[in-house]
Amino acid sequence: MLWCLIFLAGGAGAWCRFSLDSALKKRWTHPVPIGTVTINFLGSFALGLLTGYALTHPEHQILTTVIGVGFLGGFTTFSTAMVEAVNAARSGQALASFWLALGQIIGALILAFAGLTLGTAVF
Amino acid sequence: MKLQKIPDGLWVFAGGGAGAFMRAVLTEIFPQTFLHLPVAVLCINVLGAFLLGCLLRFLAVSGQDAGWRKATRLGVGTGVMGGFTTYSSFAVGAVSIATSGSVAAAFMYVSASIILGFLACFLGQIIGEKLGFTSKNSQNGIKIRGVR
Repeated sequence: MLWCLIFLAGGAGAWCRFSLDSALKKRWTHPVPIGTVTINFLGSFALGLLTGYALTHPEHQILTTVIGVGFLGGFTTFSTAMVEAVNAARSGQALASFWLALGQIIGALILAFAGLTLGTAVF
Repeated sequence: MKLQKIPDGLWVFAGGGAGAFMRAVLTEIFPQTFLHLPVAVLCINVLGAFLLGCLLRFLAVSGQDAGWRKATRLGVGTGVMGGFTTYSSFAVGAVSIATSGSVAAAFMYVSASIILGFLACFLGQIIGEKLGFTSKNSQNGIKIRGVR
């Protein structure tokens, strides 16, 4: 049952990523992509919040696992982030590659920390 | 049913579900940490970066982004590999390690993920290009400029 829900939530998360990324690509014409970074920032903040909630509400473990491991795990992606960073490096955009690899994780860490702090305080 | 008739979003949904499911199973089987590091997520992310780099470059150099190639890119690339790897668990995991007192371990986790992920993806791309150029279906056996 739980595995089935994780499958569905993961699929929904991946679908949301695909839709959001496609929508952003239409508006963002700059060669350095912005979709994956936006998605990973959003997802990291949301998982921080959710983890804060899970710490104080262990009785909702199934729900938080399905959303956290399934939906947010499927929504955010590490592999595409790396592909974009390597693509930038190989096409000579060293600075863009640096930000896609390092800037992305620094931003995600700050947002995850903010989410976790906020989630623990509010819930 | 023809491949073209299946909507893009369905490939992504089905692949993403399968990828997230595999990640959940692997983290359940290997919940252990090594030197305070969640090795399962680290291995999943590095492996996924390698496979996605390999797959996308193979597909790009072996022919047009249509038919089975497009279906594979969306289903296996955007779907399975995107759903298999995760950034949110990686970021929150690193913060949790740091706030529980092991700042050095968190730093190691982040550095190892990014450095190994980047190198694995690069290596995957090179292998994917080699496989793509030598495949029978290769339509453009010329050296590519840029990587897009």
